[in-house]
Amino acid sequence: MTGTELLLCGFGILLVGAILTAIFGRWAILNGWIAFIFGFIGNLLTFIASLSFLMGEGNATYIMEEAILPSIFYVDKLGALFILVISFISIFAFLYSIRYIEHYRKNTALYYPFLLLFTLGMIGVVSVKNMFAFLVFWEFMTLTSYLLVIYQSERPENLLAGFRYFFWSHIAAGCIMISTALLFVQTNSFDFFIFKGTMPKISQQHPVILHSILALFLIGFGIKAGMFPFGNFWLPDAHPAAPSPVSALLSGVMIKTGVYGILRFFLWMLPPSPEQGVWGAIIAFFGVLSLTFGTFSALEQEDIKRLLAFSSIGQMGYILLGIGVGLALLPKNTPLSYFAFCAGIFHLMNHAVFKGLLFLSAGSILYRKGTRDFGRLGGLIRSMPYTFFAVVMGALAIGGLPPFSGFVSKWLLVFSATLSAKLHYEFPIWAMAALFAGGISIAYILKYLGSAFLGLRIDEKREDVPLTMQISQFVLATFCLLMGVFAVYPLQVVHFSLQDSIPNLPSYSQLFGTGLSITPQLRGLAVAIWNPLLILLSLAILSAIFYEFIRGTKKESEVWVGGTMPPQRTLIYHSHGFFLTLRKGIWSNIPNLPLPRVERLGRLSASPGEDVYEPLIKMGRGFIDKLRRAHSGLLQTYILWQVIGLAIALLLIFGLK
Amino acid sequence: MVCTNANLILLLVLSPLPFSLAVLLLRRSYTLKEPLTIIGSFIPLALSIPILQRVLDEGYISAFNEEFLIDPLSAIFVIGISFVGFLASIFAFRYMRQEPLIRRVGIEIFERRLGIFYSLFLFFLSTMLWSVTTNNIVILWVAIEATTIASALLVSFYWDRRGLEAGYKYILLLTIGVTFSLFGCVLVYSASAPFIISGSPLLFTNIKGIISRIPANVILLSAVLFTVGFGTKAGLAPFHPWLPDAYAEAPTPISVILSGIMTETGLYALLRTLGLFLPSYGAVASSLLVLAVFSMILGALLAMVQGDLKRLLAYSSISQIGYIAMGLSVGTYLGYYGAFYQLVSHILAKPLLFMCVGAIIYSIALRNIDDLGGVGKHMPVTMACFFIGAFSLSGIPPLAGFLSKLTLIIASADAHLWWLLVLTLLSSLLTLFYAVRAAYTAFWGKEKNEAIAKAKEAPLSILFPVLTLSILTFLFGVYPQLLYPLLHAASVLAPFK
Amino acid sequence: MEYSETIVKLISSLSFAMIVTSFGAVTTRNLRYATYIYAVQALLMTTIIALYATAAPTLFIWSAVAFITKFLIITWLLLSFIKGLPEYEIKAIIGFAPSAVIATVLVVLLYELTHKYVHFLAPTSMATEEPFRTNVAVSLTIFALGLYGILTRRDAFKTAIGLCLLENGAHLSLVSLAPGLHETVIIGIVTDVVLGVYMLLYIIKGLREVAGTTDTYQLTELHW
Repeated sequence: MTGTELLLCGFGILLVGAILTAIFGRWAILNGWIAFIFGFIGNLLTFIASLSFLMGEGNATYIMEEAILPSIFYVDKLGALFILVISFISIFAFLYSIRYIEHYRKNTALYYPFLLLFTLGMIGVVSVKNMFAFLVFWEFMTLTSYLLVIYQSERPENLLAGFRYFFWSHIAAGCIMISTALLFVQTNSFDFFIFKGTMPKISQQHPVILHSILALFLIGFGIKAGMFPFGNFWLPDAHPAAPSPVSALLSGVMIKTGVYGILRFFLWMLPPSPEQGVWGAIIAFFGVLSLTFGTFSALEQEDIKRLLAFSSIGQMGYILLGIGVGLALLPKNTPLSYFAFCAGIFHLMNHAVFKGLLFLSAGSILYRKGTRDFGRLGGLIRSMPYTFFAVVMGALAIGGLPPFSGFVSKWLLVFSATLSAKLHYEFPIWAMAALFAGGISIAYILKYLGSAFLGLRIDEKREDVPLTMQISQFVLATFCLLMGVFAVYPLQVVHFSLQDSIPNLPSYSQLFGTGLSITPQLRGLAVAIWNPLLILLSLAILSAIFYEFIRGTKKESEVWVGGTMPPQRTLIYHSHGFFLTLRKGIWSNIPNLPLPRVERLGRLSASPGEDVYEPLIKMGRGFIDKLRRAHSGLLQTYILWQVIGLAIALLLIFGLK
Repeated sequence: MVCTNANLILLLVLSPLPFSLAVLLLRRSYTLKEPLTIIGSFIPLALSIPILQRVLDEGYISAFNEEFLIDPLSAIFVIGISFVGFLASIFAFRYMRQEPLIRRVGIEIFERRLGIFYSLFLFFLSTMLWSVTTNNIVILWVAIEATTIASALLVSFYWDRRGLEAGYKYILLLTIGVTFSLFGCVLVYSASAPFIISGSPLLFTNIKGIISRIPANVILLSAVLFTVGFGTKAGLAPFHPWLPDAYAEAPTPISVILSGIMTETGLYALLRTLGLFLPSYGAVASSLLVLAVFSMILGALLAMVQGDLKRLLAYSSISQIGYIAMGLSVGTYLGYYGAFYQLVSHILAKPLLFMCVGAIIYSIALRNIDDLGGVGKHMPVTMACFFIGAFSLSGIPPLAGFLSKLTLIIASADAHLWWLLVLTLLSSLLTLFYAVRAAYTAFWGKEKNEAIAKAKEAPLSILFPVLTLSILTFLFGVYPQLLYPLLHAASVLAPFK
Repeated sequence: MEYSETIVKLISSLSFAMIVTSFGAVTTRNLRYATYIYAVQALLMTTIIALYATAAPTLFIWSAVAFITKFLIITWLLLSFIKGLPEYEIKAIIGFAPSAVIATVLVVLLYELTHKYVHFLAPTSMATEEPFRTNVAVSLTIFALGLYGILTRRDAFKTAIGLCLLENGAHLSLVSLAPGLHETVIIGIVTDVVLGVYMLLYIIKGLREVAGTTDTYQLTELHW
């Protein structure tokens, strides 16, 4: 079977699965297995297909009948990478859902079909070459994910969150549609290749239009990707509202389709040109904004999934920073640009794995303990040891500690940004910010780890989650480590994925050297080195020494709570502590800094409802109310309107003549 | 009988009338009224198929020295009117016999009124078919006015204070408005009469040929009058206030017809008359565009704050009609195509939504959003259909509304009307807001009223039209090629180019 | 078309009388008298059309049609409806004296307008000449008075009379704007008008019975 056939087969299986699961909605477990089997096979097929596209020479094209839509499916290596990530995470989301979904006690016909269609929609988005089809799949993806977000629709806050998600997604879709229309007018086509071919002409003849198109694309895809001033309106609400496997998919892969859009239109479509450089710098700037904002806000959260959602904004910042730096440097024709791209895309893969894992773990806690509030959790290490293990792995990865996956991508990113000081003076500063935010992300993930798993136990009983849920967590946790130790292989995949988008891309060995270690080469010189075995060895030695050091001193005792047992659980040392220290330590010492205060930023995001929607809504409501009250019900007023309308029509027609 | 064009058209327009008369005579009968009505509204639907076939084959068909003429543009309306009319009659079959009403007036009076209702219903259908098939400019006015008269009593069928008030405003505002366009029709007719050597100067086809010889002032003046007159009928703002009242207070089958086809008939008249001038008079198109955008935004804004579902849908109609008029006044091929597509998607989506609300009313006699909630659990089919309608309205793929709005957006980009593009998107965002909000506050969430617990799915005769419309909304969204020949033929039609 | 001096003068004076009666029909507070004044107005219109018909005989049919519908049927409808109504209408929004001023201004304004800009308005050259020019002015005035009546009267019955006046104005204008119109078309138009007025009156009657009021100020239950 060729890759194309595999891909279409996968689509078909997902569709059949959706129909079947819609029928067997009442039998939750059975339905879960049906969904898993179809989701697994379907996604496995697309996974294999994407691998074959990535490794092989040809691209997938599938010519449908001209009359319906001329050859809409087209997967190049860039799209294939995204299919890879989507299929991989989806498989575990399905596996995890089988048991997880039972605690909702709802008809699963509202869950599994949409989940299957959601993965189908996401894969569809990245495997078309026609803007029209792209929009259809894009909306399809939004719609199905919206229905999944509001699965627990009996809770009003979920409906509100879902609505926000839907609303902002459509602002995004609106931006993309305007761009599409602009492109259509310029090229008279919806085809990506024709867009690409016409780009140089547009940039010469209508630079303003080109920049508006790109700006709208950036806003549209930025909203979906959770980029700071746009994405934070929906993301922190929608992620907690969704069932955990869906959160994992949303955060792990769906927001990546925004990145796909940015890559497709800023990297693949634009020819290397000064415009690309400018937009690269802009994207990098937004990336830094998001990573600062997301990371700091995450630290302040009291809800596991909300924390993870803000952390997603932060991590997307890293990805966007990498891509932005890459785009900015691309016209300058330096290998640093490729390193930055690899860093961004590699971080995208890593983030998919560890954020998926962390959301699943949050789901496990929710499944067992029924709450996501840090204040009401604690000491879960005893009752849920396997989940604890998974969270530790995810935490090490997200914190960017060697030898875990997050480290390699962040390392690549920081060094490529720093070394580009001569070309873009601001990039080293961004790199510093990223490093600093990296430290903060360790802090917030420790907050999660510490508040939920350490501290006072809430009960003694050992009850970890069912096997299927454990397996998905375990596999993803393992991948967090493997993708760090054997970073060469995913990095090679990333390198493949860039081949179609960047002409004259040097070979992998020219860029990163050979063997298991990664040695980025600049002008023939290795400027850095990542040797996993060396690191592992030194880590092992260090651990041995440390263990030896503390072996005799270890003793068990109750958590110190100030001398007496607190009468209420609410009085014990709280998760706030993780944030208060930092706030005191940093911000109160520099009170007059003319920067937006972190509290302010945090508040803006912690309840966008109060800060952003409500004033707007109030203003709008006042205006609409006036309009509404004009319809007083009095006949004479209405006739007067007709007369006034007549006068207006007269003025208009004779005035415009 | 030989199936000449003349026979076909005559039969199309007149076939509901004998049934109308029969229903009126048999109004005391308990069983015959509904079947007769359904048959009477089915015949036009059956006839519209061969008519469509012929129109597509021959370009247009005409009868009686072109007094009647059906071109692809009229054909869209003929199909739409007969189709929605047929579905509405099926919907009315069970819907109209509701216990509270029968108890209020007594069975005897109720039956008699129902007879008059169905009789007028068929007559109304016939007048609408008449107005979209006539080729005579003054007769067009007569037919449009006749639709108002035929439907006035239907609007105030419930004969309570609210219904009567709505009917009173409906007939008065519409009659005054439409009278303005009588001046327009007469001006155009008499200005063109001296130049027409052969044939009647009343026919559009004849007027069109010599339109360039009519003095510009007369044309502009009559354009103003048409805009006001037929604009009132079409429900364009600021001539719209009759519309929410009438839609909300009329029995649901009538709301369906009013929203789905009657305002569209007004739009048809606007299109026919202004279509005479549009190519050479940019000012006419621009001013129509201004009104269209105004209606589009105003309707959407007002729909956002409505509590009554039917009133909400009424305001949304104003907005949707604004879209259609917008596409027409852009004036390019794409604009027309988008407008006609939007017309079709609106003809499907709005009756669908009204029927869903009707199903709720039938089941629990509640229609205010604030009282509803959690209905979806008891009425899943209605819920699914309402969502399809709401999504189509707000332009979400893969439904018909998406394609039509996309076409309109592309059309405005194509015409380099960037402000229009932004406003269109803005208003579709507002549409999304109110439509989805209405859908989920009504169908999800807490049950705010104990009556809701007793809700159950409406009977099949109510669900059948709802389902049919949902399926078509979906079908035209995924398979737009079905509509292409007709819409294409209508879009390239000479009067607008 | 040529008209003799006397006929032109007659038409002018009758037209003036028609304006006065229209104004009377709008402002008279006694409903029965208002209806009678309307009947006179309709009769005047029939006569004017008949006078125009001296030069164009087809207009005699118009005149007959107008006599039957506008005078006989509508007056009969109005009179049969009036039974059971209170004698006087509900106090209007604008009283008699200001109405008189406004009506005068309207008449002068429309007369000036049609005479100064007649080339601008008229579809044919015929309509720019006397007596048709005056006819256009008069019919527009009556149309405007009818609209004014609907706008300022609170009583629903008076709005119906206003509508009749408005339709009469429109009908009268056809004489100069479209004298060649076919009789069937004219019959179509007036049938619409008659049926429309009938439906309106029927609904107002229902309102009076069900809601107990015909005051438009109170008919504002449907709002917002």
